[in-house]
Amino acid sequence: MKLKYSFLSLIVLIWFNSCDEDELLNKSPKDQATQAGFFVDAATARQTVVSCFTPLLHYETSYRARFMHALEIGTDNMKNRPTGQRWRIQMDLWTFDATHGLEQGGMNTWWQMFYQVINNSNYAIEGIPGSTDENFTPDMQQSYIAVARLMRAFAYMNLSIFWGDVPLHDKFISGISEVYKARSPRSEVMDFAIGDLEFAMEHLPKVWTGADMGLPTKAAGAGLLAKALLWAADFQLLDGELDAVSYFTRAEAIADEAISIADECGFSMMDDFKHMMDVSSQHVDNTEFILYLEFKENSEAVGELSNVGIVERSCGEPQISIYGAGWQAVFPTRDLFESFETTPKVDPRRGFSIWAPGDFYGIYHGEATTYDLSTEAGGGTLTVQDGDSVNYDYGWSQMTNLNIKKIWEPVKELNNGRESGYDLPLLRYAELLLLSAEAKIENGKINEGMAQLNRVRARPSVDMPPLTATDQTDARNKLRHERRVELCLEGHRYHDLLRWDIVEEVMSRPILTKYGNDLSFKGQLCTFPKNKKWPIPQEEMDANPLMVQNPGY
Amino acid sequence: MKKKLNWGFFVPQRKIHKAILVMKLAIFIVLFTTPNVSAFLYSQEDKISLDIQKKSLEEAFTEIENQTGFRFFFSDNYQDLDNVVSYTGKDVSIDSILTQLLADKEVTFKILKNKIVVITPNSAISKQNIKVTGTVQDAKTNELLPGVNIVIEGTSNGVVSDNSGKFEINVPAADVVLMVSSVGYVTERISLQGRTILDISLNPDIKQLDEIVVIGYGTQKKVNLTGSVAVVTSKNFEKEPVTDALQALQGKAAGVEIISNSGQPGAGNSVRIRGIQSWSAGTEPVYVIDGVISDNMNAVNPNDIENISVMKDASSTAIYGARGANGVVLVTTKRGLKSAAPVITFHTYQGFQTESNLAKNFKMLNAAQYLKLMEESWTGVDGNPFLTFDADAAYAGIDTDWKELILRTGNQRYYDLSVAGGNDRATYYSSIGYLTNRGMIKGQGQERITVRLNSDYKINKFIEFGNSLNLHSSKYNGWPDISGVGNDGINVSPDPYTRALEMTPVTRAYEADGSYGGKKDVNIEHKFVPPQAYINDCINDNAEYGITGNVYIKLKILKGLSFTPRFSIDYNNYSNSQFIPKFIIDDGISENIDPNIVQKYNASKFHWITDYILNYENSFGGVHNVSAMLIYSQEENKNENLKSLRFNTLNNSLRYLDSASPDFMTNANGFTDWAFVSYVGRLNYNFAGKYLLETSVRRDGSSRFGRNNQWAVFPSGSIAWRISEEGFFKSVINFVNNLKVRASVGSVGFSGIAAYPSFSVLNTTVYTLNNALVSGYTSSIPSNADIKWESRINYNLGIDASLLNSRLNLTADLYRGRTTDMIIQTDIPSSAGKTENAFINGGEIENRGMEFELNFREKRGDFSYELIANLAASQNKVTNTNGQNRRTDGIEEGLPVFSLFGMKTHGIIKSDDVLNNYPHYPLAERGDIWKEDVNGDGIVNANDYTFIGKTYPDFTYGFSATLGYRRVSLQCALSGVQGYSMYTQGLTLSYFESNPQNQDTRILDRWHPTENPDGNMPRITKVDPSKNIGEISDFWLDDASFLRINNINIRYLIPESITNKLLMKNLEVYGSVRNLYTFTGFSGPEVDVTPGDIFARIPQPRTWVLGLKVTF
Repeated sequence: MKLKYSFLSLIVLIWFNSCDEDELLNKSPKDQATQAGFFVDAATARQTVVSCFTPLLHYETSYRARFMHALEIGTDNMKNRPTGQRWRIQMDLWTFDATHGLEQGGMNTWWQMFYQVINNSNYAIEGIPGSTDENFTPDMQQSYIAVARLMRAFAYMNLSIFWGDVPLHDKFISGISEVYKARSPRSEVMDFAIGDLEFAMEHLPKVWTGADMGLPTKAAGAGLLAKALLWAADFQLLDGELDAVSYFTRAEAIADEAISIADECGFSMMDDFKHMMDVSSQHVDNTEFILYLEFKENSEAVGELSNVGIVERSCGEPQISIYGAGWQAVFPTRDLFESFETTPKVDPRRGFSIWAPGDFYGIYHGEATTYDLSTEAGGGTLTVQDGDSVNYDYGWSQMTNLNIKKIWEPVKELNNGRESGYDLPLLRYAELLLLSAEAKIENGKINEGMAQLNRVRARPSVDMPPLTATDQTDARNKLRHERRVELCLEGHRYHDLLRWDIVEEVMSRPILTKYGNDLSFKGQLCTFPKNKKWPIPQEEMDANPLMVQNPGY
Repeated sequence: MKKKLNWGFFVPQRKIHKAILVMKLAIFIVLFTTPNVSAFLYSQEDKISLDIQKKSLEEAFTEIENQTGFRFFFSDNYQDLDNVVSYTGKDVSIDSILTQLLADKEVTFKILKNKIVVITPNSAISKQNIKVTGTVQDAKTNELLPGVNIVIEGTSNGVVSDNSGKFEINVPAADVVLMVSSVGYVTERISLQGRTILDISLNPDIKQLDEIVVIGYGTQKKVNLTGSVAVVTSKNFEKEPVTDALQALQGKAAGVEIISNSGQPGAGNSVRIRGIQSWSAGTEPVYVIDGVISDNMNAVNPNDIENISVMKDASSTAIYGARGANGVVLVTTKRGLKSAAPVITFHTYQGFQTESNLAKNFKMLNAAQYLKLMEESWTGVDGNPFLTFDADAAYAGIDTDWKELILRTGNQRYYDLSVAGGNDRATYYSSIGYLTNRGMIKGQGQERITVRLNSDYKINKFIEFGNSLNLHSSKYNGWPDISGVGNDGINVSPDPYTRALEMTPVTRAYEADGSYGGKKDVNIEHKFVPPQAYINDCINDNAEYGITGNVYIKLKILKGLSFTPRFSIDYNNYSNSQFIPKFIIDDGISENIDPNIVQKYNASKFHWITDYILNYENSFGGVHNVSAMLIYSQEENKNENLKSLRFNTLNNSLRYLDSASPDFMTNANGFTDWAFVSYVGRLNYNFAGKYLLETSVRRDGSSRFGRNNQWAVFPSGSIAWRISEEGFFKSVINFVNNLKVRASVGSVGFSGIAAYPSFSVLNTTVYTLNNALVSGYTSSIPSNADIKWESRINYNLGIDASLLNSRLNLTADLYRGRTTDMIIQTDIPSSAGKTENAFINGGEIENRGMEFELNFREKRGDFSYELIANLAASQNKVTNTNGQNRRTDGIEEGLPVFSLFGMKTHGIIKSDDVLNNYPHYPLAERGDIWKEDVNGDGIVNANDYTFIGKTYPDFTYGFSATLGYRRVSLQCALSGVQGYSMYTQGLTLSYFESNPQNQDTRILDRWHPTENPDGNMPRITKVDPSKNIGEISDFWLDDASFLRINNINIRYLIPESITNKLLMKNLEVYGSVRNLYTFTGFSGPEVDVTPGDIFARIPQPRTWVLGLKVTF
């Protein structure tokens, strides 16, 4: 009988089979790659360097849909609709503080966005040399590392210009103990970025081939280096440091070199401004976008991040039926509209950049429709028939009566208004010329500078008469004006106001907002010098005991 | 050798031809069922010689079989086999040998022709033909007692008294003795002496020695408990029409707080035991359903539950080691009844649901009010309007009540059929339950079917086995309310209730042609897709099915020593199917060009546990009572999910993936697994039932812990002294039946860590190169191989007392605890560039509190009543924040967890005097909130942030009363929460600051220089320059204390004169109202919510039901 129970117990024990403890407890992720053995060859290197761009695309951050809007509505170029997201309103009114955009995007997320670029770049920079494939030679590795270093520099430039001194992470953070860093002086951060860009300029290829096509080329490295040197010079002046001259000198040399590299790489000024800024030229015959963030049209994976083609919400028929217009919540100011030259002729770039009431908008296709025609003075109704030509109407952008025509794609051609494939230019050939012009002017080479400037004005489709300058100040003012009108609504204005230290002067004057209305001012509530820098995000302040807040916040 | 009768089949020891066996079986069955058929009896011719000296009966049988070829059949529960017998005789008949051998045994034997001897217990062949009826009542209170066991002494035959204390039993003879027993009463031995009608009174067992409480991996007599365990038995909640058992716990156990997740059918509940003890890890306790660690309480049919033990102090929870820190809820389901005829119970209720008083009274602006205030909001800082519009012309005659459009009268139906029965060898409980609950929001519903089978078998006195098994299948329809308003205000989560509150009343629900209402001006009107469109046109179907249960085999190795291997599984499959059509709504919103979306999601979980339990229990010298337990346990859990999404089916009636465009499909497939290996030990000792000691230890290894910290040990110990058992006490104080003081200390852990903390996984990214998508990888998720469990040490002091013949019972507990090594997040500054925060151990919290439970019951004549009350107060304090400023999370040293920090305010600035004489917030004007300069530096800014309120209550309480008069009983259950605040600025009060949406009517009292100069709400201004709503302040804090009438129930027991005719044992009907009324000063539509979700939840409905319960 005892034997029987022993037997039964044995069966039970076998049935309730137990596993090896170590095997049971030592689990590893099975649905995600881990770091071990990741870096192999050019393909893995490419995978890590494209990740240096992706933080700029996340919806919450999104360089294009959020950050770039901020770079315009924070200036005299744009006015925000008085409803909608709080961060946008605060940007417009300059009422932001350290908690800006905590809930929806805003400074907090932009700070994160750039540091994520830095993290991802550091991962690529440190990881690629460890690739295991022998055929992937160190020489080949350098060009991928150069892409990562270019993006790291781009991130540090943006951090420096808005927040001043920022933590400098030059190494990939693998352990939790390495995450706390105090702020490094802006000059040191910029020197670090310049070092990265020098490397990028040296090692980036003039042309990428095969699967790598679309990555930044040597021209982007050189051009961004010129820009960084110019910024570094400006920061020297801003921060009361002494080296501005040497940076300006280097900036000039590099800018000139960058132009010739750009030429060698096949970049040039395009004759047709409108076509150059149109989505139709991208990946077809565009030779002007040297550095850009690329988007794919109608792609759920990245398209949700673009948001350039959204119609302003208040517009109705027939605007939508034609194609919609503008970005969704922000509008060009009358101040910007009026900053374009009108004598001896109206600067054609105004028409390429801004919709104003009365502009020819398009040919209407659809059933006859009647809609309220609103003007600044009053209203009325208008009936449009299939085939009628329609003019831009006041009521389509109630905030300023104006709308954006640049960096924009007809929504009618998209599956989703957010999924535009428009590539966002970060550096184009015309800006390169203006960087060169600026460096020359700052170095006292007025005529040479003006000559470069006039190359931009001479674009056949623009064809504005050449300018001359009486002295350096005059040249500087003309350069600054030229940058505003050439690059308006491309996200450069805020940078420029800060680095030229004219933000107080510009933002403290009355800024007219509404076309056809003499009483509409922007009403920003900025205080200086506090607002010359952005507040360190509260999140960062809370988490990082080494962090010190910018004055005034 | 012998044959054994096992459950109707034979186990031959020798090789016997199968046909013969079958024949024998048939013969036996005939014999057994018709015992007097003598044709088969053996003729007494053979003579045998036998000499047996002091051998067991079993050996005697073997001897006879060897000598004579007789074979013995007997039932496996035949207990006499080990009895020592002696016999000497020559040439005697088998008949006389057996007569002598079995002389003092309660058995009858029969010898069949083919030399088969069948031995059967007397009871099995007795005639049961004398009918005895009677009632059982409490000798003290005269309360009729249901569920009392009445068994014929010496047999396993018996019945159980019905709900009115009545019983009916057939006895074989007029002089049998009945054993009458019930938990909590002294067992009576009643000799019938010819009586056929009995009125039995049972004396309460004042020692209550029999009351058993379920504890971790076992049971304990209640009087011997040394830890703090709250028990809620089915009696406490079977009278409430709850759809989920946790709901029934609300207000029933001190220190156990149940918060409804939502009023959506099937949304479940959150449970907090003894307040909050961690700011980062979850607060959910561990649920153990019949020994299976499972998180699927929603799958348990409340009617199946026998009792719920909530283990609160560390000495009771330490047995669950690294998972016990938030308390343990042990659910025990009903099992079969020994010694009873099958009890068949049918229970149903049917009811309807309407809005609660809170939700009904929560009003949004009507069209006229909305337009007026909207116009005010469009007035700029400079007094000029941003926007002018002709409201009368555009919106005349429109006033849409959106909530009305989505509300309906919900209905709830429930059916449950169960059978319980068995004998002393096998018992079973089996049930099928069906619930359907169409909520009060259109399109929302829940349906659940559960099937349960619990059975226990006793093979012989050494081996038992059994199972608990629950099969469940549920469906949930309708959009959830875990609201996702975000992404530029474009709705991404179409929750109809929240949406209905937000919809602007000036928009038509439908146009004249039946299409959804269009918008005229998106500066005035919401930009949401109307809620009825989601209800009518969208699909969000969830289905869940699974199995939870275990099988065990219990081997009784020696006296008091048993070994029980047990294998449990918890399998669950969840699937979700969504379809969002292309909305053709003329609203000028670009989103209307979105294509339709089809999404399918499936997640499955397979969780297994193997426990090997070695148990020892013995008593030495009558006073030393020892029990010990050792467990080895392994456990593994695997989750896998699969998701697929496509767009653009040809039209809205095509709703499957295959019908959608292949252009933009996305899919995802994830997998996680984790495992535990545990060693558990427990030792109990008590001396003469007076001095009690318990100690336990668990060593847990978990795959979730970092590689450098894989094993953890959790010890505990507790002692108790039953003062009432001391001679000196008994002689002095006689109105106290039981008095026990107890103390415990224990260490427990919490292991809510991500599955693979030691691994730095790579994130995937997507970018576009040369107009083609390219995927990328990067590393931005930090890892921490040092991460370990969160530790808690808890101390508990308690007292249990029973007074006045146990009519009054009191329990009080005092506890203190300390949480260290908290699993905390957000340590990483965003400048590190990581997309996820690492988990580390750090931070400390202390908590303390007290709990009281009291119940009193009495019967006077036809009246009976029972009062149960409980109160629990708990406090916690952050003592270490790991060196970080966590104010934004509500964490600061010295203050309660999740405190609110913000500006202190003094109402509204109504005069220039205030502006001139006090520091004020930048840009503040009359009509703005008067924020205080707390630090006195003359500036009101973020430095003036201070503690403004706590979000967890001072105390929670519950009260229930049951009044009975003859056949009628009335029960009322209340629960309350006192002393905490909730932030009320939010979804329904955006002050027109962001996208247009409706506001709740509190805004009508806004300050306005001419219209309402005495207004007590901030002025309306679109840009909110002085941050009335943008800055956290105590202006928006509401006291969220509330008292809720959870349930009122009235029932009537139909007289026997009627039920007897209907062949029923028992029939009762009842009416019940759940969530009848809530008393509170709080201004939201629901107060019983997790802080932060006030306006984003569907309020609890008020449910009215009529029920019927019948027992056959």
